[in-house]
Amino acid sequence: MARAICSRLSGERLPATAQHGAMQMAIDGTDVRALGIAQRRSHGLAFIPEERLGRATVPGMALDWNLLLSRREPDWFSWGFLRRRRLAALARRLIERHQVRAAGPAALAVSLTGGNLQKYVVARELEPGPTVLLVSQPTWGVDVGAAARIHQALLDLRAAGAGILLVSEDLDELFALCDAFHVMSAGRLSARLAAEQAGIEQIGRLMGTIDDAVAA
Amino acid sequence: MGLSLEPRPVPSRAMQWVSPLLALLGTAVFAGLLLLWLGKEPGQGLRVFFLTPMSSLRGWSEIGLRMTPLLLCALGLALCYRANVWNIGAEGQLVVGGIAGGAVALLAGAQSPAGFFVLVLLGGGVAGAAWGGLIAWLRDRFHANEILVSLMLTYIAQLLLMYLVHGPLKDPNGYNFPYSATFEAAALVPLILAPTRLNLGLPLALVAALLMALFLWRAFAGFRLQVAGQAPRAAAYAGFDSRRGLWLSLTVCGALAGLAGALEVAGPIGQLTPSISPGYGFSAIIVAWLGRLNPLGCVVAAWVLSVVTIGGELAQSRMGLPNALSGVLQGVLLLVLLAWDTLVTQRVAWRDIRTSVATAGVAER
Repeated sequence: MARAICSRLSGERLPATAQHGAMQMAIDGTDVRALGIAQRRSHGLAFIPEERLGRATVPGMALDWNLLLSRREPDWFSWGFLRRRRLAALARRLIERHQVRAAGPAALAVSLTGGNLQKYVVARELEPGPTVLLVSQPTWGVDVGAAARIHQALLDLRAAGAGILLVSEDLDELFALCDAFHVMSAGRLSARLAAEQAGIEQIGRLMGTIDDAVAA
Repeated sequence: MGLSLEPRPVPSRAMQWVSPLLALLGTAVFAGLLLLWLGKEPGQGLRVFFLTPMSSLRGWSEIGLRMTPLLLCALGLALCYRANVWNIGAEGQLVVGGIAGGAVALLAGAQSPAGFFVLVLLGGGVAGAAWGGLIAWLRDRFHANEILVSLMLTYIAQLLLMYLVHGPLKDPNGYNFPYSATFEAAALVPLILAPTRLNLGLPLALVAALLMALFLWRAFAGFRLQVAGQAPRAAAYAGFDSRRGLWLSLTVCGALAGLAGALEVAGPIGQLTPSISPGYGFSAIIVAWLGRLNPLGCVVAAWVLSVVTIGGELAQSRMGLPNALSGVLQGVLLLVLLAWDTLVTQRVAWRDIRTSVATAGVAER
């Protein structure tokens, strides 16, 4: 369910009909309901999905080419051809700044360990300075060091004024990072809970409503 | 001790290029054994197969002539396979290109300008692209399986050719043979190395290989197509349209194969006949894989396959070997290649069975 919502919010999958119901979806006041993911990105969206290999990156392609999955600005193209040097320079910069362990911009995505590839994907998505970030399970299968770096990067982005929607099953991660929670259970979204008010029991109760409903 | 295959963490690049060479070697060994079994001297047979075709200028020019359609079709197929579109009907696209090219060529008269052959080639390319586009449309609109559709359209193309040379396009002064009239000189592709039969087709095919390499490795459209082919979910994440790759790869492949067909009829053949291709479009599948779906690799692979094909014909005339032999060797080449390719993503490991049982026991605890 969370997956389906993420791919709707990102714009990877648009509703088949033109009707969007009562749902609102806007970035900085621009209605983005009818826009695909590439256009939403140009309005300031960034998206870090839960699968880094095969979705956020193409396994058999080099790191610099993988940058292009979320880049559409004219800086990277001339007459439909790729500016490989610029791409490689940006990839090298991201690798160095975020201490990604990789052989270089030409290293295949599949050759990186999970944590290093995730650091690279996070670096790629945060580099343009998004206004809205959608991020799903950012530290799944990632080592402690990389997880700490990723958490810090998310906090830095929040400090810069971006809105972040974090989808996670890791309660420690959520309590460490979030200002407010919504709990999703049995296809229903709870009311907003401010972080100061929300305790682990309350969250747990909301997560368990499905069982109560079935039992009753 | 036991031998086992285990997946490599990263596909081996070295193995990717060593595998075709090992496949060639394996095919040569197999050919030697086959010759021995047929009661021929293997050394002489292998020489006829692999070396005699390259012993004269005429031999080289014939290799170039064979390479042209193989290379053009293989380039288009490599594009399709990189887009994850399983087109195996380049043969049909070639035949349709030959039909259209031939139909245009028959319009030429004695007074036609010297550049008329350009129209012939254009006609072939456009018709081939349309034949390929038909596959794309059926898959896009009705989710038809492109493997089946492309193969079956090959038979339709061949029967269409058969009908035309027995009917509407038959030479009225041809004593009822199923051939069209021979084309006027202006409709024929210019020779580039007289007195041999080598024509402008080979340089065209080599330029096409360079353009294809540029498209795959430098153009954004080529990148998009390969993302959609290799990782459809990444293509959705990037916001690429997967249908575009389908249409692009099939129409470009069709155009290249159609061009190859037009080059054949307006080149060495010089008229429409019931058989304008000895299976170039099918052999090109082998060329595409042997060349690692790499346009420049395909140039080398097309050359190798042309040598073997001509070698097969020489073996037939000089040593009395069966005609089917070169087809057999082409098939063996593909199978051996695919077998070796296992080692691109897997590696062989010697494993002490007792130790692995012991480790498994530890893991269980």
